[in-house]
Amino acid sequence: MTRSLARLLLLAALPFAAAVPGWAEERPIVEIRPGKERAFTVAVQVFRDDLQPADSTRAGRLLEAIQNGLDFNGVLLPLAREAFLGPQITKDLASGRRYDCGDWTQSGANALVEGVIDGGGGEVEATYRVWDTARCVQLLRGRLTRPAPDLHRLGAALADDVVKAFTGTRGTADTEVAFISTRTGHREIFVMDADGRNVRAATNSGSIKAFPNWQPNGGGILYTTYLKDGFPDVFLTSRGRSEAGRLLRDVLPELPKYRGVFSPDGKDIALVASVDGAAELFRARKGRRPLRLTNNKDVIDVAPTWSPDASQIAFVSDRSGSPQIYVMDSDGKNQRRITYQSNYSATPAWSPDGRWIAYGVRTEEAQFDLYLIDPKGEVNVPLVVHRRNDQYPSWSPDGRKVIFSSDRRGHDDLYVIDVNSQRLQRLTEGQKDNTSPAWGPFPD
Amino acid sequence: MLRASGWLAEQHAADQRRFTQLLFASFLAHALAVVGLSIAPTPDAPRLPEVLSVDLVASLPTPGALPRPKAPAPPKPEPKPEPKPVTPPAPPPPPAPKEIVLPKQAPKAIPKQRVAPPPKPAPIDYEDALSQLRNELGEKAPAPVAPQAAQAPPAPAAEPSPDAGQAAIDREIAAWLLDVKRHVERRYITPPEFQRRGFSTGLQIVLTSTGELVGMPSVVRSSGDPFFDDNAVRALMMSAPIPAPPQAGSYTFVFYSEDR
Repeated sequence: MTRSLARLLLLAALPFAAAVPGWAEERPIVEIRPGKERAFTVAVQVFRDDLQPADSTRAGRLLEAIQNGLDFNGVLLPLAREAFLGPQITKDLASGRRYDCGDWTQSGANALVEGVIDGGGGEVEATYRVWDTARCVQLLRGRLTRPAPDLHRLGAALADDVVKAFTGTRGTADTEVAFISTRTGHREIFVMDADGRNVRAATNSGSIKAFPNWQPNGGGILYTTYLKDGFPDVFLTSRGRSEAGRLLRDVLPELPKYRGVFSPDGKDIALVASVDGAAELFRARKGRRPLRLTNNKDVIDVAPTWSPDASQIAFVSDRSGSPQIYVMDSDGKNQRRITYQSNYSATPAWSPDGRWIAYGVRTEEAQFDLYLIDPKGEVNVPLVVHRRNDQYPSWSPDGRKVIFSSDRRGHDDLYVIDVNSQRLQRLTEGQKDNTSPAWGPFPD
Repeated sequence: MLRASGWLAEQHAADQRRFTQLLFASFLAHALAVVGLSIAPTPDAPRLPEVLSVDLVASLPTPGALPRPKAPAPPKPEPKPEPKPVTPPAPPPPPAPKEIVLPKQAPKAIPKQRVAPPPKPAPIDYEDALSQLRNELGEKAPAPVAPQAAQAPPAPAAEPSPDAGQAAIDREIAAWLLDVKRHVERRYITPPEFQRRGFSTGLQIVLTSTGELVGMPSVVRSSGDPFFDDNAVRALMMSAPIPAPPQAGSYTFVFYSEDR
């Protein structure tokens, strides 16, 4: 009888157990893995144009520039206007709350960008907001100003901001790339916008130039050229923020200097100089005695690249009998080889997040592919595999992309590819060679 | 003889009285039982524990072994003759009809396993395992109890076979998990920077019986990256309504940065 009663009480209590916190834990957990989609969709409205004098094409040109910037970044792709269920043009930015998020999500937009153009004194100012339509929250309200003729750069910068609002890391449409081109008949340094537009010369002396490398603050470009006596040395171009000319005139003056690479803080330079015919690595700073990092007679140590925290340097050495990638502490200690895939590995480039080193691998068919290897040499994955030569990788400052040169069109062009080997884009045109790209830093 | 027959008559009368008392007591007990059961509303609620059959999910880490869930996974203290709750082709109903008590013990273990943070989970072929299970159930389980029947209000003693009912529920949940997983993953946009980072975000959301979200999902376990967390919330919001769950209530979704 007692047992029956206890059982009855238990049964009676069961329904109430459902209300007890923790009951929900007993339901199965749903595990969600990444789907196939890699890019969000964003609806960009035509910004209302309040700028005087009136220009009927300005808002449309800015819209195109924003969309180009978004396309280049590839993180949020513009939604076709025909799909808009909400207004095409921004009315105003006054209201703090949206009531039409449903319209935008049904349009297929994950994000909405709206804005107003204003300004004056030869400048265009864009005030804009970025919305997450699914959560119906404003992610960003921003303002950007650029000289009126730079509408393209304004759109690119705005697109980069949208990417940051969604992912936390700024896009790179509004960055620059330096490279070597023979388009003038000489090997000169040129600079272009990251999407390949607006190519302009950075040097024009007629002597051979090589190995462009950006000052971390974007103030100048370090490069190698040959003096009249045939000695190579490193020079710095100026963009008004640095002292141009021979940067290390007083450092190792007796040695030919083949290449310089700025440390992430811009204070030191990893320098390649020739000692008794063998290329050696030094850590140099203007006005200080350089620190010798390698010391191997009859061995070539070249192509240094810094880890983002400046604690290590990767480089190429043929001390094993063939060129391979090595990593050492930035004081020269703990040198160890990390590549073993082929008998020729070269041109390492350390990623901004420190996780990867991109480098070129010569295959059995005697052409170069690009690979990514982790600094410990434990994981090695292909980035670009093609039957023509792909070389000289350089990372975008956000670490999402790699720019490189390839002769797949019969001469060297610059291409950019996402780090997951997707979305290959060619950036240069024409019949001249474009090579040795160096991706510049984020703008200030 | 007369005395004897009188004594017998007395005995008989006493027996009758005792029998009447017992009958009354029994009637009272049954009446109480009926009242107790009628008080117990929410026909679904007590069913939930059976969902614990989630052993189907719990055993996922070993995809190969999934379809044949080893009895030990779901802790069933009462030594049962046949330890396979799901697979047996002809679910034998040996357990006593009073097995309704089962819910009370079962709720504990499986969920705990599932809820345990899955950061370390060995690579599991989740989808394959589920479909494998589904196939196996579809083929081998004669499905004596339709899913509908499984949801029917508690039929006190008439339950023919708890194992069969549980198999039906398992099948229903497995199918739902598969559907909802596919549905949400189609909307889970993951740019390369959100991949291969070892991230996972746990979200909790209340679902209606039709799959609508009630309010915003709440982050119950952060990945440490607010943008990754927001993206998980975004994916779930974009997925609404999701396939109708087996039962309305609070559910946990875990979004991973790894493909597997």
